[in-house]
Amino acid sequence: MNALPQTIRETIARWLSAGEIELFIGWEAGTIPLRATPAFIRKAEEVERLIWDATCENNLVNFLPKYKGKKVGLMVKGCDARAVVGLLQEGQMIRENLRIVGVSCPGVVDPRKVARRLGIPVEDLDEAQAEGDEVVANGQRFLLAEVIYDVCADCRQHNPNIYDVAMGEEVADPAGDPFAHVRAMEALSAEERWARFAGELQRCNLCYACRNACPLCYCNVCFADRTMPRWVYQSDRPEDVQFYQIMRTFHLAGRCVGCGACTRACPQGINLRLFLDKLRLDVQELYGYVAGTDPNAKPPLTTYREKEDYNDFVL
Amino acid sequence: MLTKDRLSAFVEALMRRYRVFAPVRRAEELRFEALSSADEAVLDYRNTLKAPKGILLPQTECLIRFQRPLDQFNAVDAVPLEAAPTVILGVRPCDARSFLMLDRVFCQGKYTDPYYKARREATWIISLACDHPRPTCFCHAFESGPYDSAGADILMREAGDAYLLQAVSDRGAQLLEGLNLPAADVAHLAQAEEIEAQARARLREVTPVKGIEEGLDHLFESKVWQEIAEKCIACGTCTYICPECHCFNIEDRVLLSRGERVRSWDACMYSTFTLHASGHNPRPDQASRWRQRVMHKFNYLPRNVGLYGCVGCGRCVLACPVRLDIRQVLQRVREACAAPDRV
Repeated sequence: MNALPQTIRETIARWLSAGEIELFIGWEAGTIPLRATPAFIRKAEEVERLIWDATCENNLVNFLPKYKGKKVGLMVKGCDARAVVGLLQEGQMIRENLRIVGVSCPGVVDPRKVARRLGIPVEDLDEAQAEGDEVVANGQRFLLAEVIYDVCADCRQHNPNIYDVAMGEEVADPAGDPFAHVRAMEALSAEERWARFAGELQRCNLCYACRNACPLCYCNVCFADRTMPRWVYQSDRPEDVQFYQIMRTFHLAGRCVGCGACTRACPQGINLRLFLDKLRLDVQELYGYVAGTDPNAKPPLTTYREKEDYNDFVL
Repeated sequence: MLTKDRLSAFVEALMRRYRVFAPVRRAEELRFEALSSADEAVLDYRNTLKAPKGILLPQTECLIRFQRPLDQFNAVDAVPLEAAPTVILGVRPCDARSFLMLDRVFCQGKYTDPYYKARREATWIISLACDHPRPTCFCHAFESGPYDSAGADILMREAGDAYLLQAVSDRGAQLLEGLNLPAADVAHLAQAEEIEAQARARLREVTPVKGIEEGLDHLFESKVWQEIAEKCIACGTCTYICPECHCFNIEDRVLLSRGERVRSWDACMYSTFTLHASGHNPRPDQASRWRQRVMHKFNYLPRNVGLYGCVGCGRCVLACPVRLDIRQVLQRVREACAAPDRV
């Protein structure tokens, strides 16, 4: 793990001691291999705890709505930065209240992939660490690029698009189709697609880790938590699990920034990203819109223009 | 003694008389499931993602069904209590101990839960001593360890090319008698002892939990809960995979004239936990929910039923999406106990 560069530490310390922010959210070393943990820093001297390496997987923007109206600083990767833009677009944040350290990110390590390479369950990964562009696990070395999350391998924005201070060497965005996994799903028959969807969700316990890790899932009361009326029951029955996931996915249409926080948070390793990316691709193809890129753009599903619909009978 | 080449035959013999649950591999996950064939059972493993508690306390369970034809309120059907003779094979000692606490809550207190009790009385637990504790394991912080037989009917232990089976309870002894296994020889006993010593040597140093309940008595109003809860994202991961968490919710699901009363796992981390019908919630924020989690496990349960609500399996440490480590929480609690900031 790497401490932050001195200039960045000094900047954050200055923000805190000058009262520009009251809280800085970054990452610090965790207690299990390959996973850093969110750190909440309120004193300039605590800045030393902060780290940046390929184990810093959490999207810290998820915490921002909790501090609405307060002056907060945080670290964002390229994908996380889109979530900041999303919150600004939806009026959840005021830019002036934020101090952002943007980190150029080559991708974060997927412990499941490392465990798979070692032929063991992810929970049995006892000793592992990220070292530059390599990962050392149970004595074996892997290239980081080969064990990053799928969402990172598909990333086309490694450098944050919104920040006050930038950190790290810029990472080149690769060419290629980031939606290949969605197109593969689209090529299947309706029955096969349903089987894939239901099959993935067989493992879902409805623990809401996906929703609660999502920076754009900030509803004060989620439909899933409403009891009057009860839209979805708190159970692991397929009908509840499927209904919840469909509703959540649709509520994120045109809003999901594709950071993959949901998929990383899922304790069951469910590929939730596949369903969310389908809607991201739809919104991109139907409206030419990519969520989280332009703070001044209006999200397509919150706008209405007359005569926009191709049907005559719709005004 | 059971030689490993006889393991399949042993599981088959059990399957003829019992429904047998054991760890099985499903995609990348190891989970307790009812075996459809003896070969499915995986005993060479460290622990499952989820605890086996769901076998006795299912995540979702229908308690009664009812009908409301026209304007009558009648036709309530009790769901028959399920009590198929069951063996849970290969339970780790930490998980076996968890059933002791669940038994006290559901069967041995002032109230008895007939659904849990019916299943419990028809269930035998064959535990498997733990030779490769994970770095996250802290069962030994609870006056227990990887060879603890508490909660099991039979304890199995590794002895090279064989397992040694030892009856722990009377009903375990009865089950074992019917299986006609040969007695262990001296060489295997010696080997088992050596393996046990190696397993104990693998345990990391931990601070004993005992006594924490007294400190917690003075910590209800502490600011420490706010600090602990700050990074929690309020999902149910820790409670759902926990062998001890047993809080549940009961709801009526009505569709036209038919309905059912369903019990399902709840989680103290949810904003809907203890939410009253009035809209009031006595635990309105994540700090008070974390206080409830720690108090319930480490103060109320030891006081009320004499056992902690945690066995130190370390599952929540590994699965938490933000790595909120219960061991660190306990450490922070100890520090706060030493210097309480009562407000």
